Amino acid sequence: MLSQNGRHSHLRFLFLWVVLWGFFGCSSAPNIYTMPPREVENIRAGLGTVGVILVTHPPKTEVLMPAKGFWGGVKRGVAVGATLPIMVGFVSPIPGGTLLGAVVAPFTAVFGAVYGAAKAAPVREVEDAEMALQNAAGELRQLGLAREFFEEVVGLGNDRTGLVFVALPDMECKDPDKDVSYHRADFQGIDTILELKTQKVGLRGDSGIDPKTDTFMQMRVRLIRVEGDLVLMEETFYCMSEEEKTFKEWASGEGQSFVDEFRSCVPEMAEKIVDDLFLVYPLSFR
Amino acid sequence: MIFSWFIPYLFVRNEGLPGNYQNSFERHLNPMGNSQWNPYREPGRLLRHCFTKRQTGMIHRSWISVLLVPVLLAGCTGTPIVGLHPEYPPVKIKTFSLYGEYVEVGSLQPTFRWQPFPFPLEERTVEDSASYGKIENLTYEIRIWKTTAGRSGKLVYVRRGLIEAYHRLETPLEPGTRYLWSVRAHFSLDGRPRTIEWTMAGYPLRNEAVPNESCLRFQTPQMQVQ
Repeated sequence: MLSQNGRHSHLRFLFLWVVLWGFFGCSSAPNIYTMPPREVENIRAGLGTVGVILVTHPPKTEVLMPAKGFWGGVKRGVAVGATLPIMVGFVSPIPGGTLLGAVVAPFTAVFGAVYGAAKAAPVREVEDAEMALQNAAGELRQLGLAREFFEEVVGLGNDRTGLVFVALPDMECKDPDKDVSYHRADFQGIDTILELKTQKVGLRGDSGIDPKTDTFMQMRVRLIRVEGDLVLMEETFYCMSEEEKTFKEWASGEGQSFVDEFRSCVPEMAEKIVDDLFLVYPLSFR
Repeated sequence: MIFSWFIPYLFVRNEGLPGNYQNSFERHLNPMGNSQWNPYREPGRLLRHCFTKRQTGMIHRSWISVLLVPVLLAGCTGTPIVGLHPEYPPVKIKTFSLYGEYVEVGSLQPTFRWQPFPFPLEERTVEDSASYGKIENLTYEIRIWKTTAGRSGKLVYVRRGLIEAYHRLETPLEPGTRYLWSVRAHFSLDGRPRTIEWTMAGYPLRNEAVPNESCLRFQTPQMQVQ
């Protein structure tokens, strides 16, 4: 049984873990890099013919928008102005930093409101940009980028790994949060499934009145042994754009740069998946 | 506060602690001197250790000497690197920066150098040595990206199949321009093609496709140096 202090220690540990996960969860290393090399090689030794499946479901969209108009600017300015000193105080090693931040917060909130109101783009301008980006997203779907990516993975897999990669029909997924089961599937001659699923796409960046953002794509990849529907590896990978732009800049030219950035992610993401799952030999900590 | 807890964890996990700190750290966590036990592979044990009531006296010492001091060292001198360690251009990271600086190289066709693979005997684990004996057809691949307005870049130079752990660029780069670069080794292990991860420095974004912010950085001089 845990003592009172023991319980507190575990609570503190849990709290720390949750906070850290919140801060750094998105940027952790793939499991493959931290697994013992022998374990990774044992998994790979059992691979023969790999069937590649694209799980089709509209990915979640996460777009960091600029503040819309005067009141939008005021609201965003207050929020940023009030939270910034508290956050800075919280992460700083100064004793009572959070409290100090909270004392300063009302003043920075007022400053933020004024700044936000002055800097925010007019509502009409933001809405026009939003419309242009929606059209660009539609164009992306029509371009069949998902198909291009899928073919790139199959091609790279065959070229680089020494294994046989076979393109399988897309799998429709009704619930994006639920994993597809391959328990009853009949894949003749295929021992392993490489499942590709785009989880999230959008524009990501630091919060602000009119922040610069990156386009990003978040992809979940599973390697599944058909026999027993056993998940051998599971990773989440990201691809960020080469450039950072404001919302209006992304929308200019009918969102062409937005489309181009997602296109440039196709070969990079395909290579990351094939390399990490089938080729990377994890280095021991040195 | 959170960063002062987390940074040493990253530091320890990827690189180990510098010199004396590593020794005192290992004595703390491994008092029996069990040579098979690797604390860097058990971060949970490391943290639990710091919160154990029985070792309260040690907590403060751990806190100060093991956690806080390396934070400062990490900020001032430490350079966490994953993959092959670069020799030229060197990696320079400013205090409390997450990523490296753009180090100016001497010419528009610099010679890049990096740590050879496989690593020397003293840096290997038992498992490494068993595997490294089977390595054949070792080559290197280098990529260079010209930075754009954001955190990443456009691919401008690739060479695969390099035999040596250095490479002089065959075509000149643009003067006064910032670039990202990275290198990795390709080899076959038991006849199967394998590679190691791309070299990254600072806070390594290992689940992001390359190029990304944690790739190595350099910039070319304004004019060609004769």
